[in-house]
Amino acid sequence: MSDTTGHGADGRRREQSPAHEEIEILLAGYALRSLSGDDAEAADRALSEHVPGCSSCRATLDAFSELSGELALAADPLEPPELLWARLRRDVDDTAGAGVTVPRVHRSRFGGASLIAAAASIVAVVAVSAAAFVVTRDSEAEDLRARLANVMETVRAGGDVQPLAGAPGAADGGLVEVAAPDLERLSLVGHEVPSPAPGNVYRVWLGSATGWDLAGEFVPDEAGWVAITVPVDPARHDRIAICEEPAGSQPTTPGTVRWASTFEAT
Amino acid sequence: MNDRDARDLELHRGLLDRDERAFEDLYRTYGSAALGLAARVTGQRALGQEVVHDAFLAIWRAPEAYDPARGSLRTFLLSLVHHRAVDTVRREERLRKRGERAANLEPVHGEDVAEDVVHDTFLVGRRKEVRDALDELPPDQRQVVELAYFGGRTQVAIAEELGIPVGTVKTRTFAAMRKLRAALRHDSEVTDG
Repeated sequence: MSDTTGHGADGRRREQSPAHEEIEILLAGYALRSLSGDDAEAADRALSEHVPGCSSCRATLDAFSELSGELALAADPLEPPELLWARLRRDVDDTAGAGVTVPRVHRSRFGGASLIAAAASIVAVVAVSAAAFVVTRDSEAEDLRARLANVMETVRAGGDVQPLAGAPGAADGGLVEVAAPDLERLSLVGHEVPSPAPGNVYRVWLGSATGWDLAGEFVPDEAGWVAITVPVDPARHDRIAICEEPAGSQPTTPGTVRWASTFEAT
Repeated sequence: MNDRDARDLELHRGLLDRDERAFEDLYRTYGSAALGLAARVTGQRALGQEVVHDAFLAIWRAPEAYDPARGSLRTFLLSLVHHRAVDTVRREERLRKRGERAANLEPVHGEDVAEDVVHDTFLVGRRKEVRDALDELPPDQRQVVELAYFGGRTQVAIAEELGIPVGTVKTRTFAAMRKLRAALRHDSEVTDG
């Protein structure tokens, strides 16, 4: 009797089934970030439906993912300019919670939750495009939630919150506005945000009339909290969409839109 | 576990504790490798710097995204850099297709190579192992890996560029990754002693 590890009862590696080999071929392309179209979708399905329950494919995924990092060393190293470190230090200090500044912001609804788009970087919690994160239950997370709650109360009490006309594609008629003349980063803060379907994540897309750029992804934590900061170029972007899409997929266009609106400069 | 990976685990614990010195140590150790990769993939030094900035900031803000059970912090970080670099390449391609130009950015020059930057003997040795493993691949396999990994190309684009079926690109990629996996796993075991 064999199991899903790829080994028979005698411990010897059994011949891979065609399906397994097809999945491993996909995983090789996935690790190199070179899949597109149908192959990317097939990899998404494999990652969400097969790999979690197959130790052999999980091992292959981990090994190929490790290779993706090792291959980086084949490139000639380049000395970063000190300005880059100075900029990183500044941004690290900005996320240390020294203070929350909330310029003109507007509130919107997102599936019944409150999702505030603010033009300043707010607190130290960020989702990255390569990996979604979840705020864990620990003292730091509680401090973070307290800061986020203060932000949201500040916004509600500020008298500067103005609903906008309905945006196309909004799932529930929610409204959004992000306003800042020198916007470089967009922060989205959310509470009681519904979880995506199992195996899915939310992705933030920034776009214009001619196309969309993937800016980041997130998954709400157990309490529905979300805080994500993404870079934005107001010269290129005038709208935002949050879409629900398969985790691990490599989309080139937005998927199922859950919330969308346009920017308005002030 | 080798000394470098053990030190990196300490750095990760520092990141989880919001220790900025650990973050700087991580940056000083891997910043040059990260920028070398990002600049090579994007073809633009300034774009590469943006990628490196965003990747390091991301790991500072969410160090819990790294799972030590799944691999080294080094490969997690550099894989993150690679993913962002490829995303940047794809985004710039979309902009060019829409008739918009990328900013006039300084391209990468060969003389920028930081020969003396890396003082970490582990990284110097591992770099040689990785390069040797790539050199030992059959040329057609090495080509598809380099086009995908360092060129940011999709398998479809590689197939079109080389005039071969996509299926051939896939099988060459898979074969190459298996060989690299075996070669570098063996080398890693020898290094760890």
